[in-house]
Amino acid sequence: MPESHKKIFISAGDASGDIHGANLMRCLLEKDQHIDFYGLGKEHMKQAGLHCLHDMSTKSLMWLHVLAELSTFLKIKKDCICFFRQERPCAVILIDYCGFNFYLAKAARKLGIPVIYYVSPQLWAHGPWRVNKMKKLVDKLLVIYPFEKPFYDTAGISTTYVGHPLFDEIYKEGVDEGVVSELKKQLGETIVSFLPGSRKQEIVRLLPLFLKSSVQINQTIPSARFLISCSEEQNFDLVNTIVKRSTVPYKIVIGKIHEVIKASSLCIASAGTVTLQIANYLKPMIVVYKISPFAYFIAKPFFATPYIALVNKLADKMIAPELLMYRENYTWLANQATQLLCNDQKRQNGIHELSLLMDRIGKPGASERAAGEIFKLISPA
Amino acid sequence: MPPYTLLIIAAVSLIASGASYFFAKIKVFSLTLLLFYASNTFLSFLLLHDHHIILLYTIATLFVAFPIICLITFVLDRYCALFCIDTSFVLVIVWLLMPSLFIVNLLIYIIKIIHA
Repeated sequence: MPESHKKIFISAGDASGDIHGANLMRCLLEKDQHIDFYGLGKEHMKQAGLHCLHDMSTKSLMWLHVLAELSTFLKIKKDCICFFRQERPCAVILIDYCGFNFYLAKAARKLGIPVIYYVSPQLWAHGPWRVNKMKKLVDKLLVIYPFEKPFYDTAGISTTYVGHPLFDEIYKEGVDEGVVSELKKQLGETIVSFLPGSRKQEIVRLLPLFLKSSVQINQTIPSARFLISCSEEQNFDLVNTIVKRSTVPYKIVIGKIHEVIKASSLCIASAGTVTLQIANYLKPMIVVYKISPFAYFIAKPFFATPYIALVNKLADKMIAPELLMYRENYTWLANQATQLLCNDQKRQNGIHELSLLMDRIGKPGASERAAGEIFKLISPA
Repeated sequence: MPPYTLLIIAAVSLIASGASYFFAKIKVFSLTLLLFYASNTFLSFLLLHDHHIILLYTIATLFVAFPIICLITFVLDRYCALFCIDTSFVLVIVWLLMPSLFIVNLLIYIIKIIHA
C-alpha cells in the first residue's frame, strides 16, 4: 500500500522568499519524501517541486501596483482558500511578503490549519504594534535574526530563531575567484563598489547620489575605481542610463554580487540584506537609505530602532556608518568613504566588529533548522 | 469669532500638530488635531453656510470626516489588530488632506475678502 502523502501549502511572493522557500522545501523533502508542496512561488520553488497554484513572478506589492492588480490578488486569495477547504493541507508555510500572506494566514487559521511564518516581516523596525496581528494569525514563527526572538516572545508568539538562510546560499554558491582577480586586475586595488539594491525605485533614488559622491572620492583618492552592482539584468538599462550622465568612469557588473563585494575595498550599499552579504566578506561598508522628505515626515514617529543597517541593528552599535537621507547629502557619503579608505585604524576596527558579528550569526543551516521545526509540528508525536 | 482669528488658530494648530506628530508627542498631537479640525470646520461653516451649502458639505465630508475616519481606523487597528493590511498608509492620506483643508479655507477667505 503506498504511503499517504502529506500536503503542505507554501507561499512566497518576492525573489528572496522564492529562494528561501525552495531551500526549505528541499530540506523538508530530505526529511520526508512523501510531502507534496502546493502554493504560490516563483521559478526556484517550482524547480524544487512546487505545484504552483499561481506564479508570483510578475506580482508586485508596491504601493499603487497593488491597486492595479487588485483583482488578480483577490483571485489568487480565493483560489488559495478553495485549496485550503478542499485539500486541508497539514500546514501553511508563509515566507515574508506579509502584505498578502497575512490574508492567507487569516483564512488558514479560520479553517484550523496550522500557520507557520518563516522570515518575519521587519515589524521591529517600523510599526511594532503589528505584532498583535502576527499573534492573531500565526501558530509558529521562525525568525532569522537573534534579536527577533525576544521581540516576538514578549508578545506571546511561539518563536524559534533558525538563523539567516542567506548564509546557506552563500556557502552553497561560493565565490568565483577568477572573476574577483579579473576585476582587481582591471580596476586596481582600490575598488569602491556601489550596491543600490534591486528595486527600480531604490536605484533611481540612490545611484545618482552614489555617483555624485564618487566624483568627490575620486578627487581625494585618484586611484579609486568604481564598480556598480546591477543585481538583475532587467535593471541594466536603467543603471546604464543613470551612469552615462556621470563624469567618472564606472564598471557595471550584472549579478555576481559576491564577486563584486569580495573584489572591493569599500562597499556603499542600500540598507537591506545586502549589508549581511558585505559583512560576510568582512568588507568595510557605508549604508545609505534615501526617502522623500514627506515619507520621512510620515514614517519618523514609527521608527522603532535607531539603526537602518541590519549589521548595526544586529551588533546593537554603529559598526558601519549609516545615514537615512531625505536630501542628497553626498558630501557626507564621500567624507565617510574617504575616511574608510585612508584611515587604516578605522577600517580595521570596522572589519574586527564585522568578524565578531559574523562569528555570532554567519553560520549556514537555517533552512535545515527551519525544516526541523516545521517537521516537528507536522509530524504526529 | 471673526474668520481671520479662526484662520490664525488653524494655521498655528496645523504647525503644532505637524511638530507634535513628527516628535511622536501623541497627547499634544491629539489636542492640536482636535483644535485644527474644530477651527477649520467652524471657519468653513462661517464662510460657506449662507450661500454655498453644497460646497460646505463637500469640504466637511472630504477634508474633515474622511481623514477623521481614517485616523480612527488606524488607531483601532493599532490597538485591536483589526485588519490584515498595514493601515499606516492612511496617515499619508491624513497628512495630504490636512494642509489641503487649510489651503481651501484660506483661498475661500481670500476670495470672500476680494469680493466684499
